[in-house]
Amino acid sequence: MISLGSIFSTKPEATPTPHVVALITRLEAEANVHPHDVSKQLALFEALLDTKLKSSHELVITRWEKMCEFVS
Amino acid sequence: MKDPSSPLLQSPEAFKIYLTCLEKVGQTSSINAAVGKRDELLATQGATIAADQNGAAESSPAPLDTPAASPVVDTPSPEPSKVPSPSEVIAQQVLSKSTAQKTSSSAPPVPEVLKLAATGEGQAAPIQVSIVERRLSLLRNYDLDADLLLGKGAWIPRLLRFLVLVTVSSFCGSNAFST
Repeated sequence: MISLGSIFSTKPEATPTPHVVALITRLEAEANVHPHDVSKQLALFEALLDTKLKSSHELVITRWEKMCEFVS
Repeated sequence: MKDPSSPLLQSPEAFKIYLTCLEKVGQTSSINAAVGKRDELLATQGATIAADQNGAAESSPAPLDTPAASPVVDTPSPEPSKVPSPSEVIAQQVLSKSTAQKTSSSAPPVPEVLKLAATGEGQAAPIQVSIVERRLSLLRNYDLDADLLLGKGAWIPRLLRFLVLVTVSSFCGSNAFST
């Protein structure tokens, strides 16, 4: 069986939908405006976590450590 | 460690998400260090608040009818039991959740017959084994065959080169015949 997938066998990277990207962008903007609002930070973190992407997880780690000045 | 009073640091939900991300990224070894750092920061903040409160209490004038300080009775303090801190509890939750997910995803479901055999019940009942090849693996086999045959699309440039060669040669041939 020959399929287009077999000919052009490039494994597509998992990318979030444009809707998710727009949502995360909006949440990030709100979280940046209100850095001490935990609910906004949590909303952003949960949205990033829901993407199930490694880059999103790394972003959560970096952001949390930066906001808590966790890095010694 | 500059801002122990960060509200995000005090949020257990945020810390749980942070630990979950650490686990998903593969930095499970950093979880213990993160728990220790958070506990340390929270303890620092608690000590700071307590010092502030003590300072405020000392600065305020003491009431006149304050009774004399009661004599301190030295009672043997009970053995400090190891109570897990909130950060440790969160870390345990995250790690147990990830372990459960890995176990459920990696281990195939145990058929009831095997469970009975393991418990020793139903020894007389024969174990029926049926092997079913999944459709996904068939498709993957077809895919692999096509990849091996066609070299993952590497035949396209070869075909193009061949077509160009045929076209040029036919063009030259027609020119040769026309002249």
